[in-house]
Amino acid sequence: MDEQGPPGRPPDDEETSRDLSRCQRDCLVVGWCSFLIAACATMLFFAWVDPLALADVTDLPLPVDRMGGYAIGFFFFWLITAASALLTVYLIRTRHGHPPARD
Amino acid sequence: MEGTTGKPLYEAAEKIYPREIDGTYARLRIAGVLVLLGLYYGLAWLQWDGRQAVLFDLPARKFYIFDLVLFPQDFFFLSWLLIIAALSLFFFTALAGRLWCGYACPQTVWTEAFLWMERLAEGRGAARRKLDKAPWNGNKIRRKVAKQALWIGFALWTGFTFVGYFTPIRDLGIKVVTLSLGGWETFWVVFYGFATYGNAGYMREQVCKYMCPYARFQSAMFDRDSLIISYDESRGEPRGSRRRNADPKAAGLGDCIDCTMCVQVCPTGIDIRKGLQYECIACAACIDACDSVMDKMNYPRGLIRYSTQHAMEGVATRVLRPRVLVYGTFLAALCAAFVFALFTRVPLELDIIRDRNALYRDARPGYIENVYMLRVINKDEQPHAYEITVAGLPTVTLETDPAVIEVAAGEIATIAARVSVEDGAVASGGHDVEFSLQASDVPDLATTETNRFISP
Ligand code: SF4
Ligand code: SF4
Repeated sequence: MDEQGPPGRPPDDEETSRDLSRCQRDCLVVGWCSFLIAACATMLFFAWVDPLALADVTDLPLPVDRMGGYAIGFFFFWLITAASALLTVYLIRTRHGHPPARD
Repeated sequence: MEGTTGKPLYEAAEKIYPREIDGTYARLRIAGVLVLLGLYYGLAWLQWDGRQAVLFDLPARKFYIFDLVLFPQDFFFLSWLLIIAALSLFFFTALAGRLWCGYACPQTVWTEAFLWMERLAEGRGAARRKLDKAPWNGNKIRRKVAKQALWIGFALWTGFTFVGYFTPIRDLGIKVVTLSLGGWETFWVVFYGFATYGNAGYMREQVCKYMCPYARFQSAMFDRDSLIISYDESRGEPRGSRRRNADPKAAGLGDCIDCTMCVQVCPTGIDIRKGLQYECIACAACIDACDSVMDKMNYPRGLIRYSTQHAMEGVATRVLRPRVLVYGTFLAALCAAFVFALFTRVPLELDIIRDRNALYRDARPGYIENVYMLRVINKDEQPHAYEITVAGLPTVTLETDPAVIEVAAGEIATIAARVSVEDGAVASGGHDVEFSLQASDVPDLATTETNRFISP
């Protein structure tokens, strides 16, 4: 046990590459983590801002019902968080000047 | 599990056919699954005081939790609850390890339900493997279609229930029956249903391994006294096969008969005998498996068991240690503060918005006037009438339209208010003016807000 480090240590790439390829895993992690954060952001944002009021004060063609407003807000946040996560993973994966592994 | 690197995602995830095992912990988990699924699908239909008991009414921006009605302005309470939930997870992880993962995590609960449907349609592990290998024929198509139908139906029902926590579920049900579900409602039902279908039907333990942040945070919450699932190495080793009645001591063997049952049942495909591993989701399937082997061999149970690293090393396990005490104290304090805040909460709120179009007006000769919009939010279960007064400036008077503010239970009233002072009563510039809102029938039901009064 001790040689393996503390429980909960993230597996390294070799150890678990047996079931999902690294690229698939990266995509999953990017999608999922950005989803979680986008969900939190949506909650926080719409706790303070009523989508109807938002539609009133912007020139954007926002939907006129709240459910539509929430949905668009959520996907907007998801887009941003996913873009940020994707870029982060890409930079980390290519940090030694290698192209990202295509396994 | 053989290497499947490079295979499409969903195919790879289907490669594990964990052997089903019955036992104490399997039954415990099924009990947990039934209770949690029952709560999830049932609670949405529960009525309370003539409305849905638990409803986060997003279209109306009002949250109902039994007797409690929360508004977005009460967001504080919700975030507080989330913090309490997160801290509880820390606390129980320090104490009981990944007990959450094995019995209560939605991922486990829905995977269990989907596995059950899969077994119903396709049979048990070995039969399923055979079916997957078999060429497509009537039987295979029938079974696969049956499985998909069960899965998709269950997933859609899950999505429907989910949306039912955010818009009244009875109305939603009627809309489904009459095929008049709105566009966004349909979208969310399908979206959530699809997420359930993918996660519980195909991704399964991959979610735990690659996507779950909690699984990674654990190492920060674990210590050597946390409850884990472990193999008793000193008792089991040296492992080796033997005849049923052979005396292990005479053969120089430990209690592990190396039957690999514990590996075959593991949903994440690890060998717990190598020590605690990151992938272990503490499902206890290996305990059930090994216990049944031990029973057959007439050895005492518990070669694999719930234990702690300290206990395995022969050191006494301490339950009350600084980490647990700190988490526990925080948790207790947060809960106490939450309950206190909830019970002393004034179910009334006043929002004041200054008229943005004009700083001030001198509409009536001899007076300076400022105009405000007041939003009176009655968070109580009863309707109330309110009186509003202003103070803080010499000669200040207030006029509202309408003059008496009546607000129904859980509703918001928006009214215009004119505050005026006599010419020359206040210096030029901004001054604080205090609005006091007082319910006419309940003396305690009052609130005060301050805003700016601008004078030329
Ligand atoms: S199930 Fe028990 S006896 Fe069999 S290999 Fe695992 S630890 Fe050994
Ligand atoms: S080793 Fe596998 S079977 Fe045993 S508790 Fe962990 S995940 Fe479950």
